Amino acid sequence: MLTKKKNTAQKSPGFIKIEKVIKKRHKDVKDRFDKKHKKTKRFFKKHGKAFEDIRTAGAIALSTAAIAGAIATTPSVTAEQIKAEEQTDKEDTKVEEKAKKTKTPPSVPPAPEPKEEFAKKIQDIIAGSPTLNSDQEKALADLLSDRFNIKAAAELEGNRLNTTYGLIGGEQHLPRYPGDTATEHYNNDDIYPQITGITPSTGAWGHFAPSHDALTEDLRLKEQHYVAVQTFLAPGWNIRSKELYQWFRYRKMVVVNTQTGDACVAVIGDAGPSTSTGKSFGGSAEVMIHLKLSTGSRKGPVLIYFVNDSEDKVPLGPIEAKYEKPHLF
Amino acid sequence: MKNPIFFSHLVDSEKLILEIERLLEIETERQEILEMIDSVLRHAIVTKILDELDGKHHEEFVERYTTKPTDRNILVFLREKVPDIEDKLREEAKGVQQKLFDDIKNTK
Repeated sequence: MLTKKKNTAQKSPGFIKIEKVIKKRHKDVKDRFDKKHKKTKRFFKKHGKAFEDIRTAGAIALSTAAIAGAIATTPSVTAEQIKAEEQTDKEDTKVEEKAKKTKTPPSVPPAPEPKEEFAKKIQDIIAGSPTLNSDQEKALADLLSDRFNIKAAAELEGNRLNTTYGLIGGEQHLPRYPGDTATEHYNNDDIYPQITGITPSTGAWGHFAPSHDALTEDLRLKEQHYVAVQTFLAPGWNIRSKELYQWFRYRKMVVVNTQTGDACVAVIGDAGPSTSTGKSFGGSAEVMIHLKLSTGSRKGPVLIYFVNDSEDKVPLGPIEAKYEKPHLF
Repeated sequence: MKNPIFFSHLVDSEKLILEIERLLEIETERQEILEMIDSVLRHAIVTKILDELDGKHHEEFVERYTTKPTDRNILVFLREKVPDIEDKLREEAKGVQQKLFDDIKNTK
């Protein structure tokens, strides 16, 4: 049975010292905020958030000179560029509104269910089972589909993984092209590549691109948001391995932290982990951050479902609850 | 940077990140410390924004920030109210990070 265990891993003396000074500095900052902006703190509560909760998946303050420099010289951060984008958005909205005028005016959409309640629903369906039966899988597929406005499925085109529920662990970056390095990942704005490192060999499907120049934004995002799954344990692998090998490549998945409700859309980018690890899935650094599993033991229980998205409309990355009913159906 | 908070580009943390990497060998510990630093920076920057922004605009800022912290239009909004806000936030981030760097360096 998968249960949340308290992280009792021993921390190094260096970590303990550094943690102590950071906490002190953080307290100073918080005290200053509380003292100077008591009234404003109430505004946060009014909007249903404690200040500490403002942390969308992947919204990071830390940056580096390479990234800061690049963005500072990139026209897109000027007000003119942002305003131009706003104008485009406004025009798009006008088109949508014109289309909607022919339909029944929608009622005010309800606020999405808090993540905690969503996570509780997941746990109620799982009910402590180490594996899921077909009723549970279906109920969870419906829950995910409804929550995220996607088509989530345990089985797609007759294919499925060995499991849709299990432990995920953090993985390293994968070489995207011959000669790719951790520094290159860093230059491409990957999160902490020097820390997670890069694997010495390629993933199960080789390099994502034949060269640095051939690495498109699409492929870069695929490597940035990849999961490893145990393709070698998938039903039918022994007799259809060649076919399934191609089928699983970059297959779009939705991964959900069953304890927090955090979710991320990713692609299958590698095969693994080994069954000896006790884990069923692996996640890239970005995926683990979006799932809130990037600290401590860097592992936790997740659901992982196919995303039926033949038109490739669902973007990779963190996924939040949606108000509207799906347009994909 | 994927999904950066709206002021990420004003924060240069290279020196801090490298120092953490130098001091900590375990990757999980590095990540944990960097996430803590991230929290400190966010708190400090938002406090600075509220310091500089007239009180009558605070609620609108909070609404925008809580709705979508990655929205770059928040910076456009702030610039309209405080023309040199980016310079001020850059300096604030630099100051906070230098303090953190000195604190951390002294732990060795």
